[in-house]
This record gives sequence, structure tokens and C-alpha cells, in this order.
Amino acid sequence: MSVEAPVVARGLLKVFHDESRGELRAVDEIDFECHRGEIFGLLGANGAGKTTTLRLLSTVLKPSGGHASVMGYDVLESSGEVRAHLGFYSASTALYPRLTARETLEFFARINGYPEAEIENRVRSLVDRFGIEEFVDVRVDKLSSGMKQRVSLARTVAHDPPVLIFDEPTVALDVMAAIEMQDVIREFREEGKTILFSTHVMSEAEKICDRIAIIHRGRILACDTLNGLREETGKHYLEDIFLEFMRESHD
Amino acid sequence: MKWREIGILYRMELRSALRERSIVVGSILIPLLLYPLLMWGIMSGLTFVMGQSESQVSRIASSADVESTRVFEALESDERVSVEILLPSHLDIRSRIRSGELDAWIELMPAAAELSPEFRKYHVVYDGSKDRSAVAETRIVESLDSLRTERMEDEAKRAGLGEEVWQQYSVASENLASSRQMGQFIMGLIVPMFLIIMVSAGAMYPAVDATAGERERGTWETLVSTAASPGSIITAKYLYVTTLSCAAGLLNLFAMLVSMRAIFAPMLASTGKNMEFKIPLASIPVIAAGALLLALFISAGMMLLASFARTFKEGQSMAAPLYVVSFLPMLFINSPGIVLTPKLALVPIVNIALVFREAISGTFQWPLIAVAVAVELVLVAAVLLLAQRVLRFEDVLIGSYSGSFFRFLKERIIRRSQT
Repeated sequence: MSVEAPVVARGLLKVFHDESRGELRAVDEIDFECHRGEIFGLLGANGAGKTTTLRLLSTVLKPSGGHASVMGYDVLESSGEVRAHLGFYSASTALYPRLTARETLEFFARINGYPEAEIENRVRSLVDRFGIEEFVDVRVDKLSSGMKQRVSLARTVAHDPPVLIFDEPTVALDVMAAIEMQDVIREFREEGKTILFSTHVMSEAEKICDRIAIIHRGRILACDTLNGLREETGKHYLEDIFLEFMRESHD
Repeated sequence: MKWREIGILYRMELRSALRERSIVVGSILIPLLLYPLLMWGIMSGLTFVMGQSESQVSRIASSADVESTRVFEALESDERVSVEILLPSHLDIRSRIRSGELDAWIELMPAAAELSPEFRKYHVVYDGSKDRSAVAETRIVESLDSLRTERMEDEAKRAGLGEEVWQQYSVASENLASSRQMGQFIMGLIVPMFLIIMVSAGAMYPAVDATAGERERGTWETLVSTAASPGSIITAKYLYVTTLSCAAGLLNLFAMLVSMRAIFAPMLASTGKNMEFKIPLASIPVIAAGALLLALFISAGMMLLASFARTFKEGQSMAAPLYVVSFLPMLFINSPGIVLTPKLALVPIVNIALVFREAISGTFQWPLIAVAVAVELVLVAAVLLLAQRVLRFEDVLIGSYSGSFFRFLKERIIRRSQT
């Protein structure tokens, strides 16, 4: 009996009905799997369908067709279980400004179903790990952007989920903060988490993704390791590989 | 929907809200402090103005022919008045009164041939738009009235007539209402209106903060990607808004009672009118239940309207119409003669206002109260059903729909049900 991958998408489809533009297939019957201890990258330009795909997996949006599951739970039928097993981080997932860092971590651990008796220890370990100690009882709106980033990362894993989704996490971060973010994501991989990582920055995908899916107009044009993509296209740099697939799709 | 989740979310919303200055001010401080401050302000203002007017000397000018009359003597003997005789060259009286240089002018009118030679007709000129001038006119009239009474008493004495003969009758009114009933009557006119205003005002900021504010801050997506179901999230927010709305109404009622007893009652007592501002104990649960029903309806409506906004400002302008609509009916029923009738029990908001009014005076028309409660519950259920239908649309739930509730209603609900 084969063990199902932590994240599976089969023929996943999302159609939006726009009053002026009509029907828009934002995600067009895509298939992929993400494995334990892997960083799976979704690489595409703005509007390619990366965020919609990740929102479908995190059950924020409902698929128009196809199937997807997280840790064996179907995104449509067991959406609550799916969300309890994943941590979602994006540039648009902000923190509650009027809660302290500690209250934030306690709240997210609790609401995501972390055992009540263990929350205190969990928060303490997160505070240590992300270096939050100094400002743990300070309200979030008083923190610097770097401090907020650390609290935000800690809140994403507050309930210790096996699957993590990072939707363009380094957008709007300076170089040092982006590098710190990449290091943390790598650490999560070492811990055996399954990580979905979307970006439009080629160098970032090149550096941290184990496998990369190139997505364009809602379709996955290619999905392989960086070496696999190099072999397939004969190009070395991801930027050239990406352009090659774009060209092919337009032809 | 799980109650544990709702509890966690509710506590988080409330904790967060109680740290937001605008919510604390709008839902707690204003309801609690508005009345004491308002009454203190009005009383201090009135006392100051009255004191100012009373302490000022009225500058009255008269024509020379008044000098020889008893009226002139009476005015001159009044310490609050200074009288001067003006020569004909100074007779630009009207402009001097208008400019505030002079307060009033008194002159004798030519005697009419058909009347007794003793009859005097005085002409008083003053400016009613000026407080000081109006006070001067009152003082002149008071002096004239007092002279007339003195004269009549003298004449009656001279003719050997007793007071009961020349006065003919006297009036002794008996007010059957006790001082407590009088207080309840006054409260019945004021309390329902302010209670409704405060329940609406108390819901406004939390409703906008929980919907549009959440979107503006970017915490909405964080919240909907947690394990909590959308149903739990919305229920917790709804309960939180209702709590603050209801609390604003009840805090306001408490503050109003305290202010009326501590400030208004002593002031009335100093003018000889005794009023007791107490409400019957039995009316407290009825008023609390009414405030809760109103809060449930207003909170649901405001959250529904504000959920289409992307920013706090937009949310405020979208929810504001309900704020106005909620207390508009009060302007029409704020007459003491209107009571709870079977027809008025069917009118939302008005019915609860009338239940409040009657409960304050200890009147409970239970069948009509039941009708009013049923009407409000149906209304709340209708708004919640509509909200549930609206939130089935993914773009509204995630905040990507750009338009107001009314546009949405036209485009998605009315037009689709027609096709």
C-alpha cells in the first residue's frame, strides 16, 4: 500500500466569474505532490495562479473542480482538519496589533487545537527559538518590522503543523530579513516539515527549493528538481529555464 | 461551529477591542460619562447665565413725564435698576437699545379721552434678542404689576372689602402623581431615545473594527487560515459586537439614572419641584432584555453592511445609515401621549422604545411585550439569514468583492432570483 504524500493536488481547478472579464481560470487543472522534508516551490510571474493555488490548499478558497488533500484530509470535505495541519504565512497575513507577542502565540496555538496543557511550554520554546524573549510582552503594534516577522513566523508554527505554506514570504523584506527567512524555512525542512513556497524571485527558488513547479496562467508548465529542469531545457540558470518554458507555452 | 473555538475567538476579540481607544471611548466611556458631563455642563451653563443676568443692573431710560409717577419711584428704589431721564435730544432710543448701550425705554402714552384720567398707559421698548434687555423689560413689568396690586389692595381696604371679595377666587392645584411618578414620566421621555442611540453607537466601532478593520489590518486572512471554521469566526465576532453594544446601552442607563438623581433632582428641588428618579426593580430585566434584542439586531445589521468595506473609514460610512435609521423613529414617537398598542408593537425599534418607556413607569403589557419581542427576533433572524446567504459568496468572505452591500444585493441576490 502506497503512503499518500502530505500534500496532493489532482486536476485542481479554480474558476472566477468576473462581471467584466467573464470566466477566468485562475488555476487550471493542476497536479502535483509535495513530500515530507521537502521544499516545493511554485515559481511564476504575478497573476500566474500561485496565491490562488495556495489559498485552495489552505481552504481559504473552494476549488471549482479536482481534488486536493493535506495530510490525507480533503480540502473540501475536511477543511477544518486541513487548516489544523498547516501553517499559512504570506505577506498579507498580518498580526493582531493590540495583542502582545505572547498572547498572539497562545491564541494561534489554542485556536489551531494545540493541547491546552502544553501551550505554555510550546510558547516558551517558540519564544526561545525565534529570539522573542525581549519583547514577548510588548504589543505587536509597538514592534519593529523585524520583530513582527519573527513573531509572525512563530505564530505560523505555533501549533506545530506538519505542512507549511509560504506565499511569497520575502516580498517587501530587506536582503538580511529575506536571508533570515530562507534560513528559517530550511530549518523547518530539516525538522521534516512539508513546505510549499511560492515566489517570483528566481534566485530564491534556485537557492532553497528541492523541486520547482513553473506555473503560468494557472497551468503547471514543468515540475522537477533544478537539475531535472536543467537537463530538460539544456539551460543552466533558472531565469533562462523559466523563459524557455514561457516561450514554449506561447508557441 | 464549535463553542470552544467561539469562546477563544470571543475572548481574543474582546481583549483586543478593550485596548483600542476609539472602542473604549465609543462603547464604554461616552455611555458612562455623557450624561453626568452633559447635565453638569447644562446646569453650570444655566446657573452662570442666570447668575449673570440677575446680577446685572438694568439700564432703563424714561421720558420726563414718567418722572412724576409712582412707577418711576418704584423703579428707582429697585437696586437692580438704574433709571435716567433722557432729554428729547437723546431720543435715538431704538438704536441705543439695539447696540446694547441701553436696556429698555419707558414712556407714557397720551391719555385716551374715553378712559378715566387716572388710567395710564406705558410704552416699553426693549430688544428681546438680548438677554439683558429682556430682563430689564421683565423688571419694569414686575414693578408695574406690583404697583397695580398695591393700588387694588389700598382701594379694597378703603372700600371695606376683604381679599376674598376683590380677588373673587383662588386656585389650589393638587398633583396626584407622586414625586417618583413624575420622575418616571420624565425618564420615560428621555431614557428610551438615549438608550437606543447608545446601543447603536456602542455597536458602531466594534462592528466596523471586526469586519473592515480586520481587512485593513491584514489579519482577516490570518484568521480564516486557522483551524476555526468561518461559522465560529463570524459567531464570535457577532457575540463580541453585541456584548459591547448592549453594554453601552446598559452603562448609559445606569449613568443616566445616577446623573438624574445626583444632579437633576437637587436642581429641581431648589425650584420647589420634587422628583424622584427611580425605576422599579421589575423593569430592569425587561429593559436589559430589550437592550439585548436591539443590540442583536443593530450589531447584525452593522456587521453585514461593514463587511463589504476594505478600510475602517469605508466601513464607517457603510454602517452609518443603520445608525441613523435606528433612532429616527424615536423623533416621531417622542410624545408623551404615545403608548404601546398592538399596531405599534409590530414596528421594529419603536416597539422596544415603548416597552422601555412603559417599563420605566412600572407598566407591563405582557401580551404586547411578547409581540414586540417576537417581531425583533424575526428581524434578527432575517438579518442573520441574509448574512449567511451573503457570506456563501467566496469573494465577500475573503474580501475581494468591491462594492457595497446594496450593490451586492442588486447584482447577486435580486438579479439572480429574477433569472
